[in-house]
Amino acid sequence: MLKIQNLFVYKNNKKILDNINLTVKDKEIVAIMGPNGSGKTTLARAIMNDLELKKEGKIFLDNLDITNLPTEEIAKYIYLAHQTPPEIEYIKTSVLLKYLNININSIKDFIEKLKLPEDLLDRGVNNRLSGGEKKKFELLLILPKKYKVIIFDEIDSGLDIDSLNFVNDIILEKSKESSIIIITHYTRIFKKFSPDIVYVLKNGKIVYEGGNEVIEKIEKYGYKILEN
Amino acid sequence: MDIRSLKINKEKEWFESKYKPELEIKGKLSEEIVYKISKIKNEPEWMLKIRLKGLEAFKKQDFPDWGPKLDIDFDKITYYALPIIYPKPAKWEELPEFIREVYRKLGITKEYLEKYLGGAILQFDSSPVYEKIKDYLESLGVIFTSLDTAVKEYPELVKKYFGKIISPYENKFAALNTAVWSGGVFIYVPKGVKVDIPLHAYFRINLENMGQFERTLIIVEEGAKVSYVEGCSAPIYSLGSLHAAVVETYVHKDGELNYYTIQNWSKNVYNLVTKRAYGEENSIIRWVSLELGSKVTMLYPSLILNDNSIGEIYTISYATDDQILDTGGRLFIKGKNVRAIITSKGLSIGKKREAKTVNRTDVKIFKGAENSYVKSSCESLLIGKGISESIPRFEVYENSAYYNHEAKMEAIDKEKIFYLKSKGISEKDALKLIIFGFLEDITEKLPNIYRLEIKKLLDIELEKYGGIG
Repeated sequence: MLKIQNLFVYKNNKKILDNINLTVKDKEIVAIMGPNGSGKTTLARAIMNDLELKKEGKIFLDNLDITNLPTEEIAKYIYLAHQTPPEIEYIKTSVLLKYLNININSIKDFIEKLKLPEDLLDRGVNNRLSGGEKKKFELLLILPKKYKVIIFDEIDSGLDIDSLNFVNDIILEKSKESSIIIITHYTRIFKKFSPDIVYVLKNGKIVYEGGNEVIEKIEKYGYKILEN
Repeated sequence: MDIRSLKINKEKEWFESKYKPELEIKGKLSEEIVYKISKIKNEPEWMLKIRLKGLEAFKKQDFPDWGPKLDIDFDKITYYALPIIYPKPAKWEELPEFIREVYRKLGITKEYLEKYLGGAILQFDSSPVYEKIKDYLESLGVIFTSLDTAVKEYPELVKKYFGKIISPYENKFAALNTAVWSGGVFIYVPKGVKVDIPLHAYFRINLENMGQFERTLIIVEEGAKVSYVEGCSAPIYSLGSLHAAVVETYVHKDGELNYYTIQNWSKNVYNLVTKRAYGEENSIIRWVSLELGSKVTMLYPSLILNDNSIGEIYTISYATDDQILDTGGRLFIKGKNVRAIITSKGLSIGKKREAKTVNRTDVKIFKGAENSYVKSSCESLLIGKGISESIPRFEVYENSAYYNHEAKMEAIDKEKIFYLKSKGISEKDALKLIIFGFLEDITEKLPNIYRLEIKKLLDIELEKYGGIG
C-alpha cells in the first residue's frame, strides 16, 4: 500500500503540489488525471524522491517511510515509466539490462512484439528512439520484474492503437501483483479496464476523488466540468 | 608510507620532506645556466652545443598564440634540481597488474619477494628484481637506461636521433626542454627483436628520477617491436610548476611501437609536452594517452607516417574543477597507403567550477600520400559544470586520399541521472557506466591489464568526485 500524507512539493521555491493525500491499496488501479501543468508528473517524481524537489509531508510504502529514501532504493519497490525518457548514448541498452539483472533472452520476444528496433541492445539507452519507442522501452523494463507499485506517467501519449492495446494487457497482467498508478490527461487509455479510484489534480490540488464515472464526464465535457 | 594514501594537501608536505632538492639552479634562463647544467652532468661537448641551440630557439620563440592562457614566469623556474622521485610502489599489492604480470613472467612472484626481500620490491639496483629484468633485456640486446647515461655510453646513437624528430623550433617548450633537459628514458631495440614485456620505468632503479624537463628517446630498429608504458596512475606531486617534456621516437621499416601513457600530475602543474614518433615504411605505431592531472595540459602526440604504415592515436583527457586539458593528436601523412586514426576524448567533470577539455586534431596529408586513409574523431562528455571544445583541422594535398572527421558531445545532466536512479542505479554507478561506455571504443583496443588500470584509476577519481546532485 502506498500512502501519501499531507504532501507539499516545491520546485525552485515555487509550490507545485498543495497538501496531497492519497492512498493506493495493494493491487488497486488508481488514475491520476488533470490538465497540463496540474502537477501530475511532479507527484510521480516526488514519490521517487527526485532531489530537485523540496518536500513536506510523508510518503509510506506499507510501513516503510520512503519520503527521503534514495531514488535507487525506492526503485526496488516502485517502477516509474517516465513520460519523457532521456537519451543516454554512452550506456548501451545491453549494459543497462545487464546491470539491472534482466536476462536478455527473457525480453527478446517483447522487443519484437513491441516493434522496437532490432539493434536496440547495441544502441545507447533510448538513443535515436522515437517518442513512442521510448515509451515502449519503459514498458519493456517492467516485464521481467515484480514491483509493489508501478507508475505509468502519460504512457499513452505517442503510442499507436496497437501499442495502446498492449499497454492495457500489461496493466491488467501487472495489476494482479502490483498496485498501479496511471497518470494521464486522456481517457483513451482505459480500454480494457477501469480504474478503482480516480483522482483529479488541478493547480497542485486534488479537486476530485471518485470512481469510474468521472472518466465519462471528462470524456464528454473536458476538465471544465470539474470547476467549482 | 604510500603516496596514494595521502590527502591532496598533504602531498606537498610529504614530498618536500622526503625529496628536498640538494642542489637547485633557478633564475633567468641564460647560457650560464645551461653551462652549469651540462657541467653538473659531466656531459660531452656535443650535447652542450645542442643545449645552446635549444636556448637560442627558446629565446626566439613566443608562447603559442592559441590554446589556454599560460601564466608562466621563466625567471622563477627551477631549471635544475636533483630530480623528483617517482613514487614507486614498494609492495606487491600496490603494483599495477601489468607490472605484476611482467614480474611473474620473469619468475618474480609475490612469494619470491616475500621470501628473499621481505616483501620489498625495490630500493637497490643490485636487487634480484632489477637484476633479472636487466639480464633479460641484455639477452635480447635491448638498451633500456636513462638518457643521461645513454649520452655517455651510446653517444653515436643519441647523436643520430636526438632533436631530429622534434626540432627545438617546434615550439617554445620543446626548445626549453632541449636547453635544460634532465632525466628521462632511452630505449634501443635492435633489428628484428620483438620485446615481449612492456617496458616501464619501474623496471630500472636508475629511471626513478623524473624531472620537470625529462626527455625520452626510443629507437625501434627494422622489424623490431616494443611497448613502452610511461607514467603511473599514482598522483605525481611536482615541486616545480612546469613540466615540459619531450618524447622522440623513431620506428624503422617494419618496426612496431606501442606507447602507453598515464599521467596524473598534481593540480599546480603546467604540463606542456611535445611527443612525436617517426614511422618508416610498413611501420606500426600506436599511441594511447590518458591525462588526468595538472592545471593546464597541452599535449598532441604526433605521428609522421610513410608508405604503408599504420598509425593510431588515442587520447583521453579527464578534467575536473579548474583544470584545462587541451589534448588530441597530429598526423603527418607522407606516404602511400597509410592507415591512420586519431580519436580524442575529453571528459569534463565540473563539480563547483568549470572543468575544460579541448579536443584538438590536426591532420596533414602531403601530395603523394596516395590512397591514404585518415579518420579523426573528437568526443566530449560533460558532467556538471564541465565544458568542452573540439577543434579539428585538415590540410590535404593529395586527391586520392580519403579523410573523414566526426565530432560528438553529450552532456550528462540531472535529468539523465534521475532517470537512471529511478531504474535502480546509484549516481556513482550511473556515472561509471556512462564514463566507461564513453571510453569503451578506446579501452577495448587496449590489453586487458591496462583497461583494468584505467578502470581502477577512474574508480578512485569518481570516488573523490561524489556526485552532481
